[in-house]
Amino acid sequence: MNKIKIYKIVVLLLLGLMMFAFNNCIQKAPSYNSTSSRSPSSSISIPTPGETEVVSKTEAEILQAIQVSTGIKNFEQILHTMSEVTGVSSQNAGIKSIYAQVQTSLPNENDVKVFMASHQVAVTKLAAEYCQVLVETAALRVIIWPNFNFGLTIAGNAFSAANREYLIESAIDAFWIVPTDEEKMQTVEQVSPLFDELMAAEATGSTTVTRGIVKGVCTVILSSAQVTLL
Amino acid sequence: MKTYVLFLLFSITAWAGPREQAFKLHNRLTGVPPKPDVLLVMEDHIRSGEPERAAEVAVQDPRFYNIVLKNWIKPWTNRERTNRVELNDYVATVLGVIRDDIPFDRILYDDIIYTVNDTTAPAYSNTSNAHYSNVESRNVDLEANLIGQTQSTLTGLPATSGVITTRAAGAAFYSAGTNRRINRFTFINYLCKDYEDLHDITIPDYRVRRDVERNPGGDSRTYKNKCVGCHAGQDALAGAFAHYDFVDNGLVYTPLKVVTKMNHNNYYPEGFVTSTDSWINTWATGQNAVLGWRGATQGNGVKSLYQMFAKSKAFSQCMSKKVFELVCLKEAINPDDKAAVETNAAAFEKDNQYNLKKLIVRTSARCVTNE
Repeated sequence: MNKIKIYKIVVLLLLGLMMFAFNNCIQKAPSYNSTSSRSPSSSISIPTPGETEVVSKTEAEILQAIQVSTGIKNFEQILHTMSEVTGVSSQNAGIKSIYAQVQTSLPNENDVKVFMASHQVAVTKLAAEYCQVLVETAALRVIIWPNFNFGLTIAGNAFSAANREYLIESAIDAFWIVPTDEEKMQTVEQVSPLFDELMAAEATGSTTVTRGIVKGVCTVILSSAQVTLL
Repeated sequence: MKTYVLFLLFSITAWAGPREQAFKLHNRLTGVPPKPDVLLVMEDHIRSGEPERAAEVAVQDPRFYNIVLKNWIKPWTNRERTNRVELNDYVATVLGVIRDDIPFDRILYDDIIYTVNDTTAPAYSNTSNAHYSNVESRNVDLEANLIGQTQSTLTGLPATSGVITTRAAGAAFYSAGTNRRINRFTFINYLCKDYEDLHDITIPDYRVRRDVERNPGGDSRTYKNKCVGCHAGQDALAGAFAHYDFVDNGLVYTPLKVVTKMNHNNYYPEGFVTSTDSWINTWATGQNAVLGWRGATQGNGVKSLYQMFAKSKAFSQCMSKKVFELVCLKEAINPDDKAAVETNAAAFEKDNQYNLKKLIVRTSARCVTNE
């Protein structure tokens, strides 16, 4: 009998706890300025003239806080941005061909709220083509990575820790223009393992593989939000 | 793969200093990041408290015209309001007027058109867009190669009115229909109002045409409470288009004849019959007086009608609002932003300058340094 009572109490407590927890999942509305005598629930009351100024300023701050003022570049802006930062002409035959394929899948307008996963796929595809042309053109790649020897292979330690860091940081400097030190540090940390993934099961004595891996890293950095956001 | 996905989700850090602001400003105004030397110059201007000078540096980049403005203007030239259309004479003319610092209101009524100085491209044609589509496909620099011309001389159209009588406007807004579409899109594009916003059933309906049923569905209340709210105003204005039609891929003007479509579908014989190109702004009084009409509110032909639109207060406010949305990437809904839009609109129309480039510079500088 006691066990049944205890069981009932525990169940009731759990139910109560669950209701409390769900109730607290709801995001709280922004609170009004404490200098105002109005509570959030009394927003329909008519303020006195002195009160109006305080409340409208607070509302302005709230609106400012909830408004998105970041945009996404549209299809043509992305095409020319990638051209600008890589040095590859947007009129290159390979770029024109891929752009013709993905143009309609790239963002139409600058509203970041309509940005979808499919847009990112198109951005990545275009970035991959830019990196393909960039890495295969010696005169262009030397501008981005002047101190990397593209004649090295995996067996020749092309992707040593120092080289990895150099390849990533150089690409960031060239493509993002104004990265912070923190961004660079985090990105090196995040992208470094990609070298291992790309090297897996690849021929260790081929410079074609070396260029392919650099293209992969280049694509990741070129298709990132730092390049496509406005 | 996991690393890659995580990296794509890598969030952008907060923008703060003059360097980041200069970077953002250049991106917003040209669509591309600045070169290092340009970034330095812009950064210095922002650092010294002159963000407008920084914006002035950015708008000297050809891509301000070739990418950002071109894509901003394109939606004004088609019914779908999309930027995924070819470059055309309408867009080229607006770009040219901005580049040459011609008062922007003139795009609506001046005898002006811009073509591209490029011998490789097909010549301008009244019945084809090939001239413009060709130069765009070859990425020809519009800033360097646009040339202003007298529209009536180039097209042979005797009654011109800026972009309103370009071929692109003809294809989009004068084809088929009843010549009401051009009027509606004028309100949308240049006064930032659609007919729903202007709906007023209190004004007289003596200019409502015969093709508007007075008892739709057998109930005249529908006409009196709904239809008349838009038609009483728009039909009175649309008389100005009485001589225009889009036929065989070109805009034609028939000075001695009202085009058939203005008077067809005779559902109500007592309705207004268009016999001249006279127009009256019946919305000049009542609730729509708030648009701030100035000068003549009646006249003949398209040019005088668009002079009225261009000189209205709503035109300046609309352009200021559109520019704000272009460079600030949000709507002006908080009181500070609303006030800025109003102030910029007043400065835009001051002394009839209507300098859109300056409006863009002023608006963008404030926005980027306040974010």
